[in-house]
Amino acid sequence: MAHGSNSRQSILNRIRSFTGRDESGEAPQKSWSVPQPGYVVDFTKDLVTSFTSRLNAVHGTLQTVADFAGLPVAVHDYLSEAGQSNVQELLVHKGLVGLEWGNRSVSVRKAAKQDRVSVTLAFAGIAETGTVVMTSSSDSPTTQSYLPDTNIVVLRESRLLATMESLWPLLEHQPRALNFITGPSKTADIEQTIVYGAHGPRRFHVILVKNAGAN
Amino acid sequence: MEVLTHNFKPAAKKALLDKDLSAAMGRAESGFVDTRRKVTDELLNFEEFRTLGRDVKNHTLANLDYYLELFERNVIAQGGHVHWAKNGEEANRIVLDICKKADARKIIKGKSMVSEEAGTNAALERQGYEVIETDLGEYIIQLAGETPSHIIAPAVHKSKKAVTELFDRYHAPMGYETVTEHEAIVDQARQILRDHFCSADVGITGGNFLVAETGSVAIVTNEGNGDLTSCLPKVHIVTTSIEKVIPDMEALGGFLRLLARSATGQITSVYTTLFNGPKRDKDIDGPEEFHVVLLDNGRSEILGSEYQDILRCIRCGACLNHCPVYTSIGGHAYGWVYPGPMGSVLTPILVGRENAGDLPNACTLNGRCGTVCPVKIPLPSLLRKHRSDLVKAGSQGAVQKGMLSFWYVLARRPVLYGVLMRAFKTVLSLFALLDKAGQRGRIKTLPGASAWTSSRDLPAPGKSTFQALWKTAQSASNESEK
Ligand code: SF4
Repeated sequence: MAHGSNSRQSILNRIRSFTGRDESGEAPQKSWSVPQPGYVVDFTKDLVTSFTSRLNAVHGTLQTVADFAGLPVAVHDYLSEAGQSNVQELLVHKGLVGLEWGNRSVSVRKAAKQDRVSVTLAFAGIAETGTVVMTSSSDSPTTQSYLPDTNIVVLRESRLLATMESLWPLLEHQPRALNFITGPSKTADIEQTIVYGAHGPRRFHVILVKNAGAN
Repeated sequence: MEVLTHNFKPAAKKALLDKDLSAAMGRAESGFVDTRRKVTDELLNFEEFRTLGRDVKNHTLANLDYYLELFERNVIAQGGHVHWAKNGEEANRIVLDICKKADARKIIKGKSMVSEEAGTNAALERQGYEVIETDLGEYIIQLAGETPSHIIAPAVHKSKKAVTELFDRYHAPMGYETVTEHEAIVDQARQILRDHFCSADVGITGGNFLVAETGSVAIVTNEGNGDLTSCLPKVHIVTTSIEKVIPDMEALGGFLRLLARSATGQITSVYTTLFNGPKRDKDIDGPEEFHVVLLDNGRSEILGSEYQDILRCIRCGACLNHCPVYTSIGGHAYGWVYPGPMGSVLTPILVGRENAGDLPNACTLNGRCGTVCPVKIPLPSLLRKHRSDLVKAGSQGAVQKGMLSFWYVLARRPVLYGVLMRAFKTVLSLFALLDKAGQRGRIKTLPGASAWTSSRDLPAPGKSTFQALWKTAQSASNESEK
């Protein structure tokens, strides 16, 4: 705190002259709770359907596989369909390295400018908004979600939650970066026209794993 | 940023005559208003969330010292640094110091209105740093040498054609082609900015919410530029301000539902990120240093004043999009960082009423801004408050003073008032009849009132005066009571 420590004190003093609190003041009592969000259609009834329709509405796509063993084939098919079948290397979450990836190589590393496809593993999903939740770690580098043109996100169905509020109890600690991602990157900065692929991925595909086992 | 608010009237006049601007603003208004309506209607208890937003912000402001210190402790515990700046100059000095220590050359930026307020870009450039804005709208206005005209859509006033010309001027020398379509324009910016992302030494972003309980900084974007700005360079600096702090994650969930809907009419932004300090031990990516610069710049003095409610503002931009004055003249005419209703309340307080007295006076008091504000800031009454303070300070103009005293005399003489009104109505109706260019019910040109009619029509008067209507209505109700 070499910087601005005088300013710190003077700003806090001014605030305290209003709040009337002294430096050892106790934690204030909070008096609110977040209401359960209500929609015309009850989104909590069928989480997969709610999640999918929100995701589709923002140009994200979704497919389902039975278990982790089915992932490589699903990834392969998606890439062929997206015209990306000549991609040689996939950037992946560490937990996915052991799967049978066939001819493609997989690496767990920081993404670079030329990387084309990443297959990341979401910590959770949120049905209310069609969002995936990414937690940064040595297994899960943040750049993988932002630099490649195509981001495929693996989501365990058991981790599909109704709202953001159900996420907090599951997080044991805050990761360095907690990223909530809802669809491909986009901009409407020119004449309010939506264009996908502004800085982040142009293609955003979620693969939902039905039975994720102990994973 | 330089304060040009004293120039409001001529700037507004010029803006009203700018055809391109009025086309751009018309497009923006309808886009923002319609999409917001759809998504706020869909969340059935949106009103409950607005109340929550108001209450949480009020609670936080009432305990601001506690939450700021809690936030600071938690950022430090995660290995980050917190710096306090009483004004923009100090904030810039802090940023410059960090850049110097990091031996930086190139600095990339995500959108930060606080850094606009402080004039951080100019301060960095003066010291020889290369500064590149990465939000597409910010990048466009940086090339154009302009300032943002909207707090969430900085280039809302620019047409596609203008962007093509700008890109031609700056990108063609680097070997890029002319781009005329939306996709191609965005793609070209993407390629150019990627090179910058991957070669920058420092990344600066704003912070939408500071979560005290965890020491997290939350930002929201649709492009993903804020995330690339924060995770690629070796230093990440957040430039933000003291009123952005909120107690906990619960509160964050409430605000996120309000912000995306109110700002861009989305259910949620594409990217919402919480930053918790620098890279951890075994992490493969992320910044090595993490700094938060907390700007005060006069905010702590608003606490406890009659204008305190404005400190709840979450900078969503809804009041701008719903303001007939803003959507007619655009943001530049306001002459400082914050335009529209929230700017007209905040600017006179932060830069001095003597510089910005015209802003509150431009308001039509239609009240839409107050109805849409996600944290229920009573913007119309705060604007009225400004006006009455201006009058008390004796700083309204001679013409305005004269007109008001004239009206004061008339209003106390109902008979004279009635006679004059009827005469006025007859004259106006004559003009409406003679006005060939005018549609029915509108007057397009009026001698002596060109200041009004050059930029908008005057409604033709109705069949009777208000007084006459009132009389009839009263006698009718007296009849029925008998
Ligand atoms: S005053 Fe209210 S509506 Fe206007 S920008 Fe701030 S939060 Fe949004």
